[in-house]
Amino acid sequence: MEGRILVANELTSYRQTIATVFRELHPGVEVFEADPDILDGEVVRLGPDLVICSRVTAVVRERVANWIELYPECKPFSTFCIEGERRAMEDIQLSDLLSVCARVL
Amino acid sequence: MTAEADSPHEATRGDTNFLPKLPYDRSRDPAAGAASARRRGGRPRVLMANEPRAYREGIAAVISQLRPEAEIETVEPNALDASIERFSPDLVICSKATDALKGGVRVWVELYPENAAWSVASIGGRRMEYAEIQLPDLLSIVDKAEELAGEN
Repeated sequence: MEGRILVANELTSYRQTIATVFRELHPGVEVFEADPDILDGEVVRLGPDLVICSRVTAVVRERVANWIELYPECKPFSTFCIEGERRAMEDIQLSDLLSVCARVL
Repeated sequence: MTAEADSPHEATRGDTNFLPKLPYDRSRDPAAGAASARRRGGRPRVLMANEPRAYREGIAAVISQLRPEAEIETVEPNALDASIERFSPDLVICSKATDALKGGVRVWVELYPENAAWSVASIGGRRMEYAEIQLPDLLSIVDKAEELAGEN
């Protein structure tokens, strides 16, 4: 498995946690962390295959094929966009995030 | 992605069996050496009850990998008090500290209460506030809980 993941969800320890899980499970994947306020610039700079964030932006929608909007505004649902196909999910599990990674990378 | 069947920790990991089993390289975790030096006969019990779920599971997965001596259980927040009674944890990580938690557990972390950016920890009665807690802070608190448990 190869590719680039940009992890930019809110709250630092949560972001670090998700990044650590991906790094450990998928050592062939490049995992980058970014504060949400520099998300757009990092998307342009890195060209990630998958973005995980708390609030999807227009830049993410336009430039990234696969993204996960994780608990926007701390609400209990999340939105997955895989190759342009969107799906909202409630009460997602860690395994859901890993499944997306396995599918798109 | 699950705990290995022959893992010595399998029987006591509770519902963390669904969690990913991360390939662990202890040499990349300098704090682990210090934790090992302090290792006691028992193992720290960590109860995870924070919201939301994917983060609860993620933190549990990371702790179980980087602190393999820990027994970890994850529960829904509304099961926190009953789980404290049943599991007798050395450390609790939750989103909302309850009276049962404050009165019955020596080390706990109230992680992002009401979705705030700050967190509060109590370590052996000493209150710590974190403006922006980091994952290494949580791992250090696990180590401290183990140390305090070993003093019992």
